[in-house]
Amino acid sequence: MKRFVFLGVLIFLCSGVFALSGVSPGSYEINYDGVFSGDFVFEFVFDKGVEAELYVDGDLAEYVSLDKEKLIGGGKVTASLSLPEEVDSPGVNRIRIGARQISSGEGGIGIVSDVRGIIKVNIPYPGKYVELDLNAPNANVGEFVNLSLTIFNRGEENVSVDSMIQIFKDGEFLETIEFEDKKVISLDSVTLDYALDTSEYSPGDYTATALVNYSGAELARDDNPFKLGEFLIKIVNYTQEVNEDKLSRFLVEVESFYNDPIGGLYASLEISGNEEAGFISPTIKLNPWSKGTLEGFVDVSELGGETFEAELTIYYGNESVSEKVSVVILKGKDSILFWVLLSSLVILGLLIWRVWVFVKRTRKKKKK
Amino acid sequence: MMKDNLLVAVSLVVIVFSIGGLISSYGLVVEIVSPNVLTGHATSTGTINVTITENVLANLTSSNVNWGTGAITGENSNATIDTLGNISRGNWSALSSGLVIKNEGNVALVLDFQSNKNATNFIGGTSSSFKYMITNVDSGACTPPDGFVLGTFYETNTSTIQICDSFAPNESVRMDFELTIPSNSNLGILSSTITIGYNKVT
Repeated sequence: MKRFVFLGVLIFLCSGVFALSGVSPGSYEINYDGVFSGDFVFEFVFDKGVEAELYVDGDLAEYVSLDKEKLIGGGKVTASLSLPEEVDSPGVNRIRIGARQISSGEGGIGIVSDVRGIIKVNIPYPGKYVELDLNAPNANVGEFVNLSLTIFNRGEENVSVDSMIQIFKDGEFLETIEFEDKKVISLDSVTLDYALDTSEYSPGDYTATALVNYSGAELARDDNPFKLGEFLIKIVNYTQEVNEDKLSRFLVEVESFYNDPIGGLYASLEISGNEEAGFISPTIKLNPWSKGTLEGFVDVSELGGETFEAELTIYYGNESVSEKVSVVILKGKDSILFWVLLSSLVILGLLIWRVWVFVKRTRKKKKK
Repeated sequence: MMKDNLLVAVSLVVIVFSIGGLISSYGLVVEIVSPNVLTGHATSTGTINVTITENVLANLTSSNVNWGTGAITGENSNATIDTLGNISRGNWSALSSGLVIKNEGNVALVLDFQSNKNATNFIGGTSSSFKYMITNVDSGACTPPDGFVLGTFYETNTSTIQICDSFAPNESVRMDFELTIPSNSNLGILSSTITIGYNKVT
């Protein structure tokens, strides 16, 4: 039985709300050192008439109450936080005050937004406890890498810190940057900055490792990888096959190893023995450390054979990079059809010839 | 003759008043530009305090991604449709625009995504699929968490999935969808809700 399926399926995507939504401020931060009670006001923004339900979740949500349950078209919400004398949740606690759009429920797939303001509550760990945040941004060789180490004292007690940053490349130790000892009081932080001179460094991937000894016994550590760039573009990939007898799209994927944008980048494909068939692509701009695709068209109708050899060159700034490429010319369907028809005609001709020979022989035998 | 004399007299009065006004204006200007009254040269320092409030703001700049009414064509067992312009084995309207989310605020955001239905609940039938993919519209807009690869389709489930650990201000990401609709799928108007959640990186 012939199977025929016809579905009348209505699929609506995103038939819900299309809107701008947000909250201000995005967060509050408090240090808890005993009983705390206070209000935090968040102003939510939604398009006119849009309904949003309010909720609280995350750490310490049970200690928060809101002054309303729903918003229409945005508005102010006051979150009242009342923490008891003892809270057994040391570290950074994030309470989320959210406003989730209510779906119109018209069917299809609705898109709704869920905006959240944050109340960050820092509760000290018993005794001494330090956390680190090391930031090592990418740069180019010869530039300074602005290392920034923030030391957070998350413990109940003040600490004295002995800090250093070590630089590694491919696991090999290169140098140590040492800082003066500092005192960090409970629930406070200090930031140490250092401009790392990379004039003696080579391009590549590096790791900065911060080691902070606090109060003579404990060690805190944070790692941050960073890259040193050079003005370099590499050809990552290119079209390996083109179709015969037509203008065929030719793509070249390139990658930048530079920490600044590179503009005016273009490709040239010079085909050996046939300069007319190649191309010069339009220019593109590559962002730092990113990949991009250059596009051109090869006039394959000008080319014969099964492959062609060419020189692919990428030009950027005053530099260029070249690669010898070999590209396969795919036989088109028309060509295949031609050979099938020709073969069929030859076979048919042979058959006719055999029949004609057979008939001729039969007639000769009859005459005899 | 009488008229000429009158005109001369009025002219004289006007000239006298003009000279008086000129002298008066000159005196005022001299008074104004005298020391410590008005000058283009700074005489003391001042401080301007500007507080810029952190704003969490996002815009869903594309909506209403709608393939309309359609059906599986021929004797095919399923159809695949997406928001990249592909319609395979079906006759829905082609769409080449997904949902674009722009960070309109002035702080980096954490971005997550949740659907209230998976493929089975949404489309139904045998081997149905409901996938999503996140790509950067602006290079470097979204820094995904470890294990989440931009530009890859993932099957949708009802868990909350963090898609950007950091979504840069004034940049955009795009969300695309791909559905595989089997011949024995649910019929009629199918519905699901996708929630795009965000807050400031803290």
